[in-house]
This record gives sequence, structure tokens and C-alpha cells, in this order.
Amino acid sequence: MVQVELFGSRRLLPEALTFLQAEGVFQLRLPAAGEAGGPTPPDPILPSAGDEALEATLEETVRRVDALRGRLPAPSGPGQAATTLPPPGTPELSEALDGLESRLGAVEARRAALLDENERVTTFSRLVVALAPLAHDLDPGLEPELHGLILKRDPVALGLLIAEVRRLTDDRCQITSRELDDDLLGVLLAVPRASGRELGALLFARGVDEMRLPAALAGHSMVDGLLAVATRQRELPAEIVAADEALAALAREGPALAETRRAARAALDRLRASGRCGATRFAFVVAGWMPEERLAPLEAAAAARFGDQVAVLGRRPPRASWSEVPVVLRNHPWVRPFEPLLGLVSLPRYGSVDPTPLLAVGFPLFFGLVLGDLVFGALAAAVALLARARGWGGRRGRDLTVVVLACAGASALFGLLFGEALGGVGAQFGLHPLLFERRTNLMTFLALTTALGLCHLLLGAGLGVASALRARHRREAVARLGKLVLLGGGAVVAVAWLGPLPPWALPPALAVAGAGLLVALLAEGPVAALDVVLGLGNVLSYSRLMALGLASATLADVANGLATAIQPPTGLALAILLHAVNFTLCLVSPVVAALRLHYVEFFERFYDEGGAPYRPFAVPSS
Amino acid sequence: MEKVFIALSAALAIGVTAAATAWVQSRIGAAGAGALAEKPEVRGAIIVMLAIPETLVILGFVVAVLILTGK
Repeated sequence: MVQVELFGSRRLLPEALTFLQAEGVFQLRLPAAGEAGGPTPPDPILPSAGDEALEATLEETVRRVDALRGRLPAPSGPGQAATTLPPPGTPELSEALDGLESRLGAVEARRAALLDENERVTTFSRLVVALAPLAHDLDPGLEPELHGLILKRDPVALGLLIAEVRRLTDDRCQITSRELDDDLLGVLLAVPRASGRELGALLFARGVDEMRLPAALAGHSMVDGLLAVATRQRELPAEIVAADEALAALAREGPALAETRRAARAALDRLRASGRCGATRFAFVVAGWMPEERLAPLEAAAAARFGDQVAVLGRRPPRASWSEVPVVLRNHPWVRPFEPLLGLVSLPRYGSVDPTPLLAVGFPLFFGLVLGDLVFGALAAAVALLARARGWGGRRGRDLTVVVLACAGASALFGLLFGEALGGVGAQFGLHPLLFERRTNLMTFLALTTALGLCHLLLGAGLGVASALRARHRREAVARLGKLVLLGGGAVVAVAWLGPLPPWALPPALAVAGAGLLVALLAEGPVAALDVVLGLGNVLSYSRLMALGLASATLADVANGLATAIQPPTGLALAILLHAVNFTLCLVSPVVAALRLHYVEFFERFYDEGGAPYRPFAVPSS
Repeated sequence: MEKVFIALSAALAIGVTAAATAWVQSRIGAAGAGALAEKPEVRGAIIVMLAIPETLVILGFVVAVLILTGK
């Protein structure tokens, strides 16, 4: 990263911000003292009343556009803008949005009304078809009004309803009913128009949902009503299609709305960015950070755009500002897929160690040590290669396959070293351990995992010393060196005490460990004494690799035992099922264990977290 | 009789530490579920926190192995 300042005539600030936003590589920060040529920080640019009004207008535009886009259906076909909308912040855009909202509201209301009518007509038609053979003999002079009901089949309730309706209409009504299906009953009430309102109130009071006739058919005779329903039923689909087409036509405004939103967001960002710039009476200064390799292209672009009216100055950030400098991880393409594994902790600070390459080695190693099976490794590799060939998950999926392939390779390698393929099945086909058989040599396996953990922690402690020296924290470096010596000396003491080293190695190892502890105590104080216990706990924590690996191998043996103990095909099916369960468990447990060993035990010795992610000032993508 | 005591000791070493781990993980799990409901972005940190008390049962397992193998 380089620290960059842009200087120029104050009137060019809006244009300079537009330029920087288009370049999209510059992360803004507040200018500090010494910039803009003075010993004090340049004055921040305060928003004017016009700026505040414009900001409110732009925010309102974004809100209205979001609401409109939420109501519009997805455009079909290529996403070309049917029209272009006026620029954000102008009264013309507000008028255009008013018009669009109005048209959309009218189309939505029309469509909703048509759908509602269609539903009513369809249901009523179903009712009428059921009741068509029945006729009412109500006097036409009473202007009969039709009311349709769909009721649950309940003779008692129907009887009560008939009695109520007869009482209400002085027996001047016609009630016909027919079964619609096993549960429902269609009921058609023909009552004088004068009693229609009272009947509606009665049905409402009794909680009966009335199938209302469409308004256009109210007061029609039975025959006229039937004809009108049939006519509407034929007309409605075409009208609904027309409403859908009108909505689809409005949806073609979607790309234009998206572009308007993007422009409004960009204008808002520029407006807010100006508050993070400094100014004197005649000049402005925009300060920030950007990747070093992008500085030269930015300088060239600025020269081409502004000539000598804007100056770009870049320099390495001073050590005192490292805690504020944003961080970009830069790793080899084969290591980059492991960067998401760091996503569970915050980024390393600028100038500190990026542990991704170490994670790229340690994670598959620990995973393989636990899974340690030739067949499982091959299976995981096959799945990863298939996913890679099919392009599952896009770029993220492709990155994930690199991680899976590394883990699968390590699993297959440890499968060869431990002589395991589906547990002990490999031995039936002549597979013998190249290193040792972990299922029976528990102590050897335990020693291997703890020794690996010790090396891992020593590496972390060494990195911690280097990191503290680089940051010029001498006292911390000395304390970390003391702990490193304590850990190494303690390991030699343990090995000499357990036997592999000759007894004469014990006193000098104790002296070295004691010296390390003394140095750590002097540099860090009494708290450093805790590292004697913490270091031992951290080393022993790596024995989880042995525990999980042993559990995996034992589960595989249990599956194989089932296959031989129970007659086929049941035994074989159970064995395959248990191997599948084991494989699934082995995809989860080692991941959590390996990550935890890195985050908790390894990173604790050197990792300086709290780095700010690099977020350049750029045109919003949406 | 000695074998019974050895087996019992190993069982206690793994059993007590497993129960302790389970109890701690239940507390972390409950708190983590609450935190996840409000801040889904802390998922990773909670998974790691949930894995931290496993050290207890791992150490219990190591002690049990040491007891059983007579080292």
C-alpha cells in the first residue's frame, strides 16, 4: 500500500472526486497535519445547505427507485433500457418517477381487480353449473337478486339458514342447493332486491362467506346472470393477459431504474466523500491509500485528465500510521483459495505476517493426519475434480476444490503411511503401513501429533519474534524470544525425561528452559510464567488430531466388522452406510479441529489481528 | 481386580471430561445461537468458540490412553 495525496485547485474537487471514483482504486481518509503544505491539518469541507438538500433528494431517489424495482416483475429478454431517465437530483427525474409510479399503480390496480373478478366469476360459474338445472319461480316484479354461497355440508346449519332467510324475506325467496363435492355444498339464494341488503347483513353476522356476483351482474335475472358470467369468463383471460403485458412493458424500465439507482448512489458517495477531503482557501487535498502497483497508472490518468492542475503524491505509509492502513492479502494463485479460511478471524494488521501460506500447508496436513485413508482421500479428490469440471459454485466453488484437493492428497498420503484404505480393508489387498499402523500404535501416534504440534508452535513463536522485531517492539520481541526458548527447552526436557534422549541432556535443557523463562519474566513480568502451563496445554491440544484420527480408523474397522459378522447383503449394506457416515463425519471434525489449532494455538504466538479491509472509493456496482 | 480399577479410572478420565465439555458446549451453544440470531456474521467465531472446550475431553482421552497402556 502507498499513502497518496491529490492536490489541486479547489474548484476542481468535484471533478477530481468523479475521476477517483471512476478509477476505483483509492481508499479515502481524512487528511492529516503536514498535508496541503501546512503544519496543521487542512480544514474539512463542511456541507452547505445545498449539499444537504441534494443528499436528501438523492436518498429519496434511491428509496423510490428501490420501491419501484421491488414492485416491477423481472424483465424478460435482454436487459436493455427501454428509456433513459433524467440524471439523479433533478426535478425532471422526480417527475419521471412520479409518472412511473402512477402508471405502475394503475396497472397493478387493474390487474388485481381483474384477478379478483376472475376468481369470483370462476367460483360463481362453478356454483351456477351445479345449480343450473334448478330454476326459481320468483316473481320478476320483485327484481330477484342472486346470492351464491359455498357451505360445508351440514344439514342442520343449512336448515337454520333457510329458516332465517324465509323469515327475512317473508317467504318470498327461492333457495336451491347442490353438492359441489364430498365436503362442499353450493347454495343459490334468489331474494327480492329489497331484501338483498338485509340478507347480506345476516350472512355477515353469521360469518357466512358470500360468493358475491360481480357488480356488473347484480340485479340480473338467472338467465341473464348466467349469460353474463359466461361472457365475462371468456373475456377475462384476454384482459388479464393485456394487464400482464402492460406490466411487462413497465418492467422494461428496470435497467433504466437500476442505472438511475447506481448513479444516485455514486453521487451520494461523492457528496459524502467531499466531507472527508481537506481544503484551504484555494486548494483541495484528497488523502488516502491505494495498492502500490496502481499508483503509476493513476498518476498517468490524472495527468491526462487534469494536466498540471492536479498533483498526485505517493509514498510509503509512515510506521506510525500502520495501524490505520487498509490491508490487501497478496498470495500465490495456489495459496489464494485458502484466504477464505482466514475469514473467521479479522485480517492481519498492515506490516504484520499474513498466515495464509502457513494455513495452506498446515490445514491440509492436519486434515490428512485425521482422515488418513487412501480410499476416502481418493473419493474426496474425485468429488473435487468433478465439481471443478462441472464448474459447480462458480469461482468460489473452484477455489474450494483447490482446498479439497490439497486435503484429499494429504489424506491419501497419510493413508499410505498408515496403511489404511477403508480402515483395514486395504491390508486385505496387500497395503502395508509405510510409517506405522496408527490403530495399534497409540503412543507412537500420540507422540507424532504432539511433536507436530510442538514444531508448529515453535514456528509460530519464531514468527512472533520476527513480527515484533519488524514492528520495532523490542521488549515484546525479547519476551517472545524467551517464550520460544522456554518452549524449545521444555520440549527437550520432556523428551529426555521420557527416554528417547540420553539422561545427560536433561540438566542443560532445564537450564535453557529456565533461562528462557527468566528472560520472558524480565521482559513481560509475572504473567509470562503462565506460558509454562499454556505452552504445555497448547502442545497437548494437538493430541486431538490423534484422538479424531483414531476415532475415524476405529469407526472404519467397526464398519468392516459388520460386513463380516452379518450375512450379506444386510452386513454389506450396513458397512457401506457406516463408511458413508464416517466419511461425512471426517469432512467436518478435522476441518473444525484444524482451524481451531491454527486460530487458538498457532496464531496466538504471532498473529496481529485487527487489520482494516481495503475498500476503495468506487462507483457502486448496483 | 487391578484391571477393573484400571478400566474404571480410564472410564472416569474420559467420562468426567466429556461431561464437562458437554456442559461448557451447551452454555456456549445457547449463547452462540442467541448471538447468531442478531449477528449472523459471527458464525465462524462461534464455531471456533464451540470447539475450544473440546480440549478438556481430548486431554481426558490422552490420560485414559496413558492409563490403559500403562505408560
